Amino acid sequence: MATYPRAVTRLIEAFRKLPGVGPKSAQRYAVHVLRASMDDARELADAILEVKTSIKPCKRCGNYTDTDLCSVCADPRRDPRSLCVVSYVRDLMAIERAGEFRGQYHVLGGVLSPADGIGPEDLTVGALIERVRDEHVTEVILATSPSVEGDATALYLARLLGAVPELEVTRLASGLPAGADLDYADQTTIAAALSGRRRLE
Amino acid sequence: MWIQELRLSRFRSYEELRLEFETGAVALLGHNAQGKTNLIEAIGLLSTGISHRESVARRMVSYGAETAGVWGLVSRLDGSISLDVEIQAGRKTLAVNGIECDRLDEFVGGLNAMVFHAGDVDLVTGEPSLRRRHLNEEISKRRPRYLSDLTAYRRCLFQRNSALKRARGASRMPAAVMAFGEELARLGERLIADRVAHVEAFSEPARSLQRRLSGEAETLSIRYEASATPGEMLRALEGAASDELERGVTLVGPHRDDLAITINGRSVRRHASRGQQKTAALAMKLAEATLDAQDPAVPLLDDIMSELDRDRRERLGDELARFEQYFVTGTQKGDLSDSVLRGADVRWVEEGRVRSA
Ligand SMILES: [Zn+2]
Repeated sequence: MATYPRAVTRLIEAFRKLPGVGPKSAQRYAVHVLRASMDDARELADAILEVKTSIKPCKRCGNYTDTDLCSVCADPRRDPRSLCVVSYVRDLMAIERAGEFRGQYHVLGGVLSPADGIGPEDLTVGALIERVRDEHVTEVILATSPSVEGDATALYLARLLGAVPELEVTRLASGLPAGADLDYADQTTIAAALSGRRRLE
Repeated sequence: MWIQELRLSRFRSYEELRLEFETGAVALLGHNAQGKTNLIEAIGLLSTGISHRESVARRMVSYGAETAGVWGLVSRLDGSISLDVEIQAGRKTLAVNGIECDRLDEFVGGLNAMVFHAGDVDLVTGEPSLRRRHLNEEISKRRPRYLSDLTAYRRCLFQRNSALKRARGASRMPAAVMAFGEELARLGERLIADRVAHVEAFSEPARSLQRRLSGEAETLSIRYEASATPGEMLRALEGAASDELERGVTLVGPHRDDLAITINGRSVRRHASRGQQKTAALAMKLAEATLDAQDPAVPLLDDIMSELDRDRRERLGDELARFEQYFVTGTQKGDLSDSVLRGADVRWVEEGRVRSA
């Protein structure tokens, strides 16, 4: 039985690690690279390496950036007193696409999920508390996804932030379908949810 | 509502079957193991999307076949709808009016049918979990939101129990457990409120049914026993905190509630006769079947009548006459009451074939 040379197999295996890529697609991508021009292949390899060497989490909010501060944090027109807390960068991107929110973000890096061993110490909760205290934040919008875990995470943060005087904490969720990720919600839904956010007791 | 047409394809003992019905009584007669219960099961499947006696979908497919199908045309007060269940490679596909459903709650409720079988007596004599499961199924048929609340509640309970297990032996409840507790209380109170409303709605009709079926001798009382009253679940969780930290599980919530069922003031489970217990289960389910008074459910009674004494059987026949359509099974005409047989559409079931009498 004929097999691919080792280098081709290595590339196929690398593609298979990508989400949603099965053995057939991985093989197709590898063959595509084999047939591509040297410039295109180098561009792909360089792009992958560059993203890994130059992109890091924003020091302040956790968004992806190639400088110390991300484009949102560095933008002087964004109101630093209004903070939107999301689970993942993709949720931040979804809210940005809706174009309604003029404040800044904080990326938690996940949701509380005791079944998976994820507790508050595994999220950027400490940094959030520091920011709220040090940056004179007056409004926090909790935009964790409207799932059981997202809701519990929002409740946890609301209790924690409840001790901060003169801080308004609201929950963005009501307008989104249950179980939907912010990532999949369309822009008008997000915009509606932002305007209809409710205060947490 | 009533079932106009039923088609089976490679379902259990049936190769291909197409049956048309009218309103009124449908009597399915035949020896045991000829396929009567399979027909009841198929209709039940169209109602809930799940079998009342089988958890492995693959086993409903005929031996040697790949795919089984059940299709039904239902006449409702608000119009006719078709319901479709297909089982392939152990997976079920559900469709309403030919449109595939993404979620079970889109399918459930199209046909409201209620299966009655010999095991129903466990509803009043068995473990509390059986009563909770019954309530969950019945309420899900009527309130689509209930099923999604229940799914979220179970997920939340799983998360909170995981957190509790980790915190086992701690002196204070960790904040993460408390956050899932708040969410649990919010969802749990919604489930409790829905269950209380459901039980309150059927307990009075069930009481009247038991009185009539027993010849005015028995007073049935059914009450929902909640571990926490509305608005109090969070406080109840706080009260149980030290026990929960010791045992590492959630001790308060609708997953631990039960029904309190009595006849003439005494516990049905401990003090009633077998006949009274059977009647109580029957009265409870029949009452639930009439909850939508405008468009009552279709009762499917699988070998129920032969289980009752002569008087109760005749009285049950009178009660069934109030439904637009109902199905009864038996081995012979003598198993059924005269009131049912009068004007019934009698079908004989034999070796996977059904013929009119
Ligand atoms: Zn930033």
